[in-house]
Amino acid sequence: MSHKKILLNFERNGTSHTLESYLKRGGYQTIAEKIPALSPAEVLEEVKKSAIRGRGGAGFPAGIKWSFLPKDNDKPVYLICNGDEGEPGTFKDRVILEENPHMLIEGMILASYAIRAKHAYIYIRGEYGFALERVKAAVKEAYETGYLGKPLKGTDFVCEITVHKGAGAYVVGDETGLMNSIEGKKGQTRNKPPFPAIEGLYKCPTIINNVETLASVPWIIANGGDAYHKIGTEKSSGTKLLSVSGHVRKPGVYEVELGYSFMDFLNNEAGGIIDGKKLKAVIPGGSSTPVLKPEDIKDMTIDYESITAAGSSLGSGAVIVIAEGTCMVKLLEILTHFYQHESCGQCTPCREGTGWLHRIVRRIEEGNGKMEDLDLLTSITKHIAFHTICPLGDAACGPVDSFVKKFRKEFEEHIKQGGCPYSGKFVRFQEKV
Amino acid sequence: MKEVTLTVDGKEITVPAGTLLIDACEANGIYIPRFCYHKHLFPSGNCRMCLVMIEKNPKPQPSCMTPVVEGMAVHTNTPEVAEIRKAILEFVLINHPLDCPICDKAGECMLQDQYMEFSGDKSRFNETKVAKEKLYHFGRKIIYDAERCITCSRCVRITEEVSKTNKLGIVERGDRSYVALAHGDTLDDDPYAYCVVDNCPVGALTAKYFRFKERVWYLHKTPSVCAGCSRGCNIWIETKDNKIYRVRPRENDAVNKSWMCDFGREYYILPPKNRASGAKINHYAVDYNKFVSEVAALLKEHAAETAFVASAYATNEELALAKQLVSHLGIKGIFHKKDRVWQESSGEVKEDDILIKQDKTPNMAGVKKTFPEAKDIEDMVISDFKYAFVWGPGAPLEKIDGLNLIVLSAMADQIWEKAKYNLAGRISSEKHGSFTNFNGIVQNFRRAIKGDNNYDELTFFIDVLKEVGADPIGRTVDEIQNAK
Ligand code: SF4
Ligand code: SF4
Ligand code: SF4
Ligand code: FES
Repeated sequence: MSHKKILLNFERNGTSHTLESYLKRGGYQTIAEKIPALSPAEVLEEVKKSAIRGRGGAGFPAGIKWSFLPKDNDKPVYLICNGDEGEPGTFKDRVILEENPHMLIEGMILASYAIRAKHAYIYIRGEYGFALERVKAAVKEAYETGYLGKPLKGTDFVCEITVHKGAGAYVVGDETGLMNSIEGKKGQTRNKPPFPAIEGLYKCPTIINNVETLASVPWIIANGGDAYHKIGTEKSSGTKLLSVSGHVRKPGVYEVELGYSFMDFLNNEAGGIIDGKKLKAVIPGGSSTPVLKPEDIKDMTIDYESITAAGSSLGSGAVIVIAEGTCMVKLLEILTHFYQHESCGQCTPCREGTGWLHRIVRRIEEGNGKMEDLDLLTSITKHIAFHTICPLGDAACGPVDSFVKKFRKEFEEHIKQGGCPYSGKFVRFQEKV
Repeated sequence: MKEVTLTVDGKEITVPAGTLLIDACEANGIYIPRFCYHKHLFPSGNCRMCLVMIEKNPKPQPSCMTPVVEGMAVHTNTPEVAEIRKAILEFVLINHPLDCPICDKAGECMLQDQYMEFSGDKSRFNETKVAKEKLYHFGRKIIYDAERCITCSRCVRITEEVSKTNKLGIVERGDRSYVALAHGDTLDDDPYAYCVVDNCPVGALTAKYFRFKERVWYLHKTPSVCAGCSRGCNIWIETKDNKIYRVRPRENDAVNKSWMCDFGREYYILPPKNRASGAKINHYAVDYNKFVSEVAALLKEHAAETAFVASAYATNEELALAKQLVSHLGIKGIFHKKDRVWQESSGEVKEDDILIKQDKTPNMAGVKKTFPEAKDIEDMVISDFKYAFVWGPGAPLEKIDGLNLIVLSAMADQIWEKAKYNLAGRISSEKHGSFTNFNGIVQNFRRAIKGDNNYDELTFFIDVLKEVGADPIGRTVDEIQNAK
């Protein structure tokens, strides 16, 4: 199947990030041609019509999010682009930041205009040094050309963008953690309510969207929300970037139309499993989404509803493919260690619980597990999930519950044998295969 | 004020709009367990101990972060809430050392108390605990034990919101988090540092002056009022065997909330310097009764040429008796002074907009109310007098040098040394009475320890009054307060 390309509609030849290249492929046309004719409310209306859902992981419709801003408000409104792409397995925004930054900037100008943002921020995770350079250069070009810092053609609206570099914390991928980080505070999340749309950055109404979401806005405005809605499925409109990693022949970032068959994607775009191995499991939307077995994904399509029906979630679109021969206990040990390491430490269940989970899983992998440990794991997650300040707590529990449930036998084998039953080159998941 | 009606566990309650759910429940007899919430700090919602169920809300909500809403239906006693509380306590305890036998907080520890009340379950934790620094000196006053810390951030918020020094922060992440100062910094110049010790819910912060000195359940608590300045912070003086072991703020929203300054605290816990003792005439110890009759006779004979200098360390009741005495004898020269002693320590804050007042005496307001006619001692014309009755420490020597001095004071200062008649008095921890603070609030306090080789000023004035033929308006603090 050939897919409509919205975000990766260019040849990836190393020049796509420049303003020149972007203009050549029709960039910034919405600013030149559409904005003079559209009111902010009309821009918002198109985005609403497109029904595009937040691409960061939660999948909340962007247009509806924008309309949560208070109506009569005398404080400045802020827009933040969340480029703190930290979920393990996720690296799709990076391609936009590095190779198509002007599309993001155009999207941010449109979004700022729609919500009348006084100032916009692009927050880029600390580890993305190259992306940061590219985005900074692009923002500079946009200022020099007058897309930023000057009134948009036909209006008195001026869009300002500041690029902000993170210091490297998974938890600032959460909106409120990210805002604290911009404010110069420790990257820790806030209790909600108040929600950012009411009280966000510097206690002012704030809209935060993912890179991919904002980068889709120029196409929506250029072609109309209805046209976008026609792509994909009724409830999952548009295209989606997927970042595929793990035991596939062609790992990388692909743009597909939502509704595409997962198995087709795996066998065609991702090139199938390496070494002709059999598929063992798939984590479909980033490390926090529950793991699925081959039988769960047979008829699954890539969209919010179908993956949810299969028992997981589209999340950020980070597909981690796991081949036969991989030790799931070892894999879970790695994932639980990640969450322990990234817990910000604010709230008790996550601060204490993530480390506890990790130590139990490690003990099982090392051969010192007990059968009671398996129930203990799920009773610990029961008291972390939904009892924390931010979703990191919930995220840490997704893999534990689903691994123990779906691969219980493997855990039991470790416990009975007093060690890891796997050997060979797939034992250690993180080893290069 | 607008009111809001909600139901908690089926019971209808009405509270002012904007009240936090945790306070609304408490005011109505339903105590919600907590660690991070403190009613005088901004809530931070991090410990999750106060989670409750609110109808129409699928997730449990932190009651310390939730303002009440009209019609809200709250459940605090469901099996689910009970289970959450147990789980939070289990989480808090997995890395917490079992230090209770050697922990100063034992006996008044929120973790111990809430574990006993809301859990009591055995831990299912079988791993190695996270090890951290146990002896982190936060300067000369305080020690921090990172293993006991439950990172509730109360201490951080106290330096942020109360003392406003912003000295503490939580560094690292996850189960490695701990409280720290900037490199090389201390809490020594935070004028409210000891408040972090009082309000740490566990034994992570200990005061060096009290550490390992006494188990808290052996201490006798006496409600008192700090005499360190005219704020009059409400305090508990905690004693055993007639010795002060610890001083802590006593909550009073109108005066000091939950705080007191370190200067005030050290006023009680550092051994007092230069205490006066005994009854003396011409530097020789005399019998108290002889002292009383000689002084009474002298005052009676020389009333017209005696200057009476009132003490701003005196209680209102003592002042009332003194007032009766000077009126009875017809003493006209009445003076007050600004006592500024005992505050030479370096880094001392003279006054701030938090608690500390510049006037370091506790009862100047009481003096001025009792003796509205009193003049500032600086304006005294020395040639008008032959005698001076100087009460309390801190009078300017040069003003009264040359007069025949009768000194009634708890402190042996220069004037004490120059006096012809000396009677050692008591400090506020040694007596009952009341002070009037700078705001006009009259506050009672009780005697915490017995005075040593010194005399109760109240009794002294009663005795002198009787000696000069007057009937004292009362013989106890209560009687005098009722007589006024
Ligand atoms: S859930 Fe974890 S990451 Fe989120 S606030 Fe709590 S401790 Fe921090
Ligand atoms: S030291 Fe005490 S008050 Fe400070 S964060 Fe730790 S437990 Fe809380
Ligand atoms: S502010 Fe004044 S009254 Fe309060 S503790 Fe300090 S010295 Fe005592
Ligand atoms: S008391 Fe509410 S979260 Fe700590």
